[in-house]
Amino acid sequence: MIAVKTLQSTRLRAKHYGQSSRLVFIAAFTLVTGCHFQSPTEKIARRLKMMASWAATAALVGDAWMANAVPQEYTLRTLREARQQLHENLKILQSYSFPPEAQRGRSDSPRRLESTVRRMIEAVQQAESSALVQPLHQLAEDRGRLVILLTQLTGTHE
Amino acid sequence: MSKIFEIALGIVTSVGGFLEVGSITTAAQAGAEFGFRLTWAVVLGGLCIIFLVEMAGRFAAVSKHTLVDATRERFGFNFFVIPLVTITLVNFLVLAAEIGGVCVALEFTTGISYPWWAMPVAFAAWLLLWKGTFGVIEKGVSLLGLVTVVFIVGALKLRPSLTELGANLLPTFPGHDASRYWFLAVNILGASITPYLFYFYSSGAIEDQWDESDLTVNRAVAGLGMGFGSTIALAVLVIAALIFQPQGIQVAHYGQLPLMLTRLFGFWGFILFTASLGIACFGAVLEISLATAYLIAQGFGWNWGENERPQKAARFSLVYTAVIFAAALLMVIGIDPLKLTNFSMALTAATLPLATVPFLILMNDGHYVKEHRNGRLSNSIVVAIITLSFLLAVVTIPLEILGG
Repeated sequence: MIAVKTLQSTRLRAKHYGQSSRLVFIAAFTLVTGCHFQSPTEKIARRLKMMASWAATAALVGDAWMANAVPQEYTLRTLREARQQLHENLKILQSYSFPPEAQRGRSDSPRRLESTVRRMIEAVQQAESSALVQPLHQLAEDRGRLVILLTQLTGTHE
Repeated sequence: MSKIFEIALGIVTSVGGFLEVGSITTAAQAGAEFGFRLTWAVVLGGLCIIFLVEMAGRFAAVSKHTLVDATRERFGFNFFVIPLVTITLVNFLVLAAEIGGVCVALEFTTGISYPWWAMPVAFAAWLLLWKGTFGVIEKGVSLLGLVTVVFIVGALKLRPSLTELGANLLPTFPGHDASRYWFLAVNILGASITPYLFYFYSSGAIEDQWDESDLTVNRAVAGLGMGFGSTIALAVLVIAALIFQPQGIQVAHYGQLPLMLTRLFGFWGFILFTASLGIACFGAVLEISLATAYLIAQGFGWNWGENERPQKAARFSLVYTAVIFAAALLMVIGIDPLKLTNFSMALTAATLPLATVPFLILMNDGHYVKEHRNGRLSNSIVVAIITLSFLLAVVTIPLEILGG
């Protein structure tokens, strides 16, 4: 009799734990997924953010190369990766249909970034640090515009 | 005096051997994208691994069993096969990611693409395992790994706000990119609480013939060594938060990582980052290969031991030989090491219950650990952190895959 009662209470406890863990799982899923599905504006902002990130990387590596803090080969590889990523993100960005509030995302700044990084690659290939000054300046300008655009789209830019 | 030396050496090797590709990458990504917000994940992961490593050492010293031996004995082979297969698979992916880390470090210094380095790196690691002893692997490479202390120097140089760091010791809901935030939290937990670490530690305690008189050394090494090790991971997060986040840089490629130290130390920053990545990952390659060989050899009851000549433990040596070269193949075919790192760390977190639940049961079984059973505190802390990691992993991995 005692054994049966113990078994029943164990089953009840197991059922209770099973229900609790399912509830915890559903709560966690809702918490995380709630913010996962993105609106068109958020998708555009995400691409712009990636482009801003790669533009900042190109600027940082360019500065480091001018200060002799990184080798030429590493600089070239990083700039080539930045250019490729900018190109891919721009292609994806152009495939989106822009809602009215995100029309500013079509501005020239994102498009100019790739060609600026290409000029940086040429300057590093020729080992001419003076030739890097102008593209770095241009990059900073376009990045600035991109950040403003992002802030307007999302309200914040972290 | 010899005990103090032993403790000091143990702490130093734990610190030097703590950082690996997962902890460097995930901490850098977290800092770059969310500033100090994921500090809690690094701290929780560190806390959990301190408890688990201490338990692994205590278990080996008292029971004279490795974790694998005892798991098979206590739960039977049919059950044991499940963690064996899962942990071997996860170890394999993490091993490939670590080989990728060494190759990327070599790419930074030579300019030759990382896939070309995969086989030479695998060969170098295999040769060291084949010819070396446990002491050489455990202490030699870990001592070199002390170069990673550069991250602490860098973080101190940046003078982070301790108030802000302290405020993020508790999880907060992010204002943006929630799924990414939780995915990175899972990655950090997976990178910190790697089962290979405590399996390796437990086998190492048997190789070093620990007994109950080593329990103090074990406690000090686990607590201080892993604690300082986690501090290095935290330092990586701090540097990324203060260098990358203000620039809006998100870490999506290994090539971006050295830049966090060049800002601080110029050309030396580049050299020190490359050395840290290369040495830390190479140390992890050796540890994971051995941990996998320990797992399989002990699981099937074969002769095992890094201090044995390869002829005496032929199947054990065959396992590490096979896994190293097979894992290197993933890099040869050009799989992105960063994506593999993220994926394998998340998978580690998702499979943690399989590695830790049997372990916790053993740690509460007087037959093995006599009066040295776990207390309520250690049981509760480990169960809570593992449950959190598992839940977050099963929720965020599909979302991250769906979200590209």
